[in-house]
Amino acid sequence: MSLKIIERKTSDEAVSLELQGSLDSDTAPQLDECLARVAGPETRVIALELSELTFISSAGLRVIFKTLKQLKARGGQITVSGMSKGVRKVFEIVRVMPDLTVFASQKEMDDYLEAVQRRAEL
Amino acid sequence: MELTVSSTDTTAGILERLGGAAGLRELSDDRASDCCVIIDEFHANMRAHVWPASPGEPWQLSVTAANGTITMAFRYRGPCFDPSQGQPVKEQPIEYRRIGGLGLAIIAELSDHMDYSYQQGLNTLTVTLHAPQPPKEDDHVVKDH
Repeated sequence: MSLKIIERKTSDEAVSLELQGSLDSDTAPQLDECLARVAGPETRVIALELSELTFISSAGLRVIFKTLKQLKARGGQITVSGMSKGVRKVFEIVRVMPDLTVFASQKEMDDYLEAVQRRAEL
Repeated sequence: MELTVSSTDTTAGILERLGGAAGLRELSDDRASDCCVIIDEFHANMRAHVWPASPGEPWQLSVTAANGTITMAFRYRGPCFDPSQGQPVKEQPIEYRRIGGLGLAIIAELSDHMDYSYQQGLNTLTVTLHAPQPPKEDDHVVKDH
């Protein structure tokens, strides 16, 4: 199973990615490269839609941890939506849930991103 | 089902070869996800820690399913290393955490039981997961009497 990354919406403030497939030791570099390309110094929010992600292992978590550290250092955050039971379990094992902003649905996350965008435009 | 895995195999390739393993097809999605994660963690550890010292040495995976339990046995030749000694991850803000070293903790937490042995240069890690059959659609139907 491979990883497909769909860039759903991107602004200076927020980057939104939909991950489909598996985020494992083979595919994690793909996400790393994508984030390096789409996230700039202005980025404050990276939104990950995970409803089509079949599983995530520590290699994928490393990319998310690295990005989260960079974002938090400048007051930013990672938001996630659509976690399956299996994916959520792995996030809970590594105790990263308190550092993430979790949305129940893609719609909720999109509404939040729009609010972030509106604030940035004021 | 028995597989031999080499350093050039991808996790996707391993999982594809396992696709036909009896028992795995019937797993619930989250239990199947747990098996995939454990296999990828083991493969990644082989790449990072074993193959640099002994390239070309394959590892073997055997998967059996019986009585609502999946057993995966990982075997490889190399120095003695017990992966079942992984410590749980401590709660700590992300700013103060190191990024790596999560794989063994994840394997331990996803497994219901782990067993490790080392005999004549052969490491064997056996991981057991309880895997009750997911409910069938018919199970939710309320029948009139």
